[in-house]
Amino acid sequence: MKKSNGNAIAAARRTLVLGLAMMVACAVQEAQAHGPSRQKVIESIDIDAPADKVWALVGDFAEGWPKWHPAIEASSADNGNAVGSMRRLTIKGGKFLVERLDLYDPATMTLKYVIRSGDALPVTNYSSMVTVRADGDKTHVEWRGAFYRGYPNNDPPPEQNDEAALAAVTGVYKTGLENLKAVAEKK
Amino acid sequence: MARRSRSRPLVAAALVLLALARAPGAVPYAYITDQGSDDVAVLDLADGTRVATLKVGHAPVGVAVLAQPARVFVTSPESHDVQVIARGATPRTDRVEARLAAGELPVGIAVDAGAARVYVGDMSAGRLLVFDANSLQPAGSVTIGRGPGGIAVDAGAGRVYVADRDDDAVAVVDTRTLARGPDIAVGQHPFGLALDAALRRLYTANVYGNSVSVVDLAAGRRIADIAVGAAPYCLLLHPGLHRLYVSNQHDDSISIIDTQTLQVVATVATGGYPEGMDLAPDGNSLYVVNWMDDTVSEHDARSGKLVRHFAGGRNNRGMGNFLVPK
Repeated sequence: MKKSNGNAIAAARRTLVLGLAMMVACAVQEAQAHGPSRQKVIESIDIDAPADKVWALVGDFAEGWPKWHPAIEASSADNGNAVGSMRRLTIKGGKFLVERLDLYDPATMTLKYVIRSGDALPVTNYSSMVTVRADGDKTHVEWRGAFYRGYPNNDPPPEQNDEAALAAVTGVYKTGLENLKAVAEKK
Repeated sequence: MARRSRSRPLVAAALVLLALARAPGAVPYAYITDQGSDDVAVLDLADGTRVATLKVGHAPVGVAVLAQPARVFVTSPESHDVQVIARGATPRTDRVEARLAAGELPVGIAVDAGAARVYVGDMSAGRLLVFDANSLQPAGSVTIGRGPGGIAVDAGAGRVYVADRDDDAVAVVDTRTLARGPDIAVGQHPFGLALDAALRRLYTANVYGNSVSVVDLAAGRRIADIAVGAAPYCLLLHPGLHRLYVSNQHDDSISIIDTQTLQVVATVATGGYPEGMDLAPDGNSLYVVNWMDDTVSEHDARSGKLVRHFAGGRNNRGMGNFLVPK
């Protein structure tokens, strides 16, 4: 009995130490040092559904994205969809992102946010904008982001270089938009 | 009446000057650094035609123009060098004539034509490098602060200023001795820099502070911070209109500050992620390089209003002076 408790306690301690180490390692994103070359990704998709239906999905920054993005398991925010609201995304694979909403305009169906912390993407100083635009009774959605690679200095390791950053963000946008289309077009 | 107005000749002179300023001069060329394609796109701003593409180093950012000899200097931080473009009779005969090793991460660059000097900031090593603008030989260097960005040459005072982004300060260097004077504290994360020689001021664009700091050079300290848009980056002074333009990267806009009142008088839409800016020789237009859209937008200098976009190059930045008169 005592032995199994000891093992459980040791395991819990290891998890706590690992968690703390990860928290320390994931420096606040916004004020990080970075290299000279900012990267960008611009992806878009046309959806056969009315714009307000798409905005209902995309525009719920605080809690709505798990409904359509396959990589997002959970989302909660401290101030709903008000500018300044911080949301925490639980990402598949035990990762997370904390993001701040910087612009929210339902009239133009535009929102902008920045990553503040989190280990889900090999990027730093990441900002992003999603715009939803009515196109008759269809909808055009554009998702664009600007960021630096994960490793700020010269000679980055391959998993933190420019290519890795571009591939990761492109993957997030492409799979997200494709599934947004599938969800929105469901009758 | 007997008394002749003393102001009449002045009014006449002013009208002549105004007429000259508004005379449609030849629209310049723009030498645009394309960080995403390792080249410089040379655009004829009369109609936006790309008249030349010049391969430079890796991930070019900064640009500076020298009239005599006719050269354009470009920093390529990720190949740690500066390319020297020798300008031909037309851009079609331009060629990259030299590559200058420039420390670890050269970003900001500025020319002092009178002293035939080129100044380059090494963002990683925290140094200011100097080159002879004629011989292209190294002509000294000095350690400054952390993260040097924008550079402004104060030829009259024999000084060069550098925005030390990671120190929230401006470094001051004597151009004759390369001695470093005391830093001037400014706002958070200063990157863009502009000298106002007439008003004896320096302005910094504070990327994290979302502000412009105003430095009184005689007093050697900051006298004001002006709130502008989100992530302000580069600055452009229009001395004739006493206007300072600020590119707000995250707001896709420029803020226009009246330098006499230090008030923001207008905020005007640009393309996506505006960065570098330069002023047409006739003072009627400014050009903004939009990094997200890969465009150069032409704006009316008085209102700031966007007139038209031209196609630029991949991840274009245009940090510095990039206009060359025809």
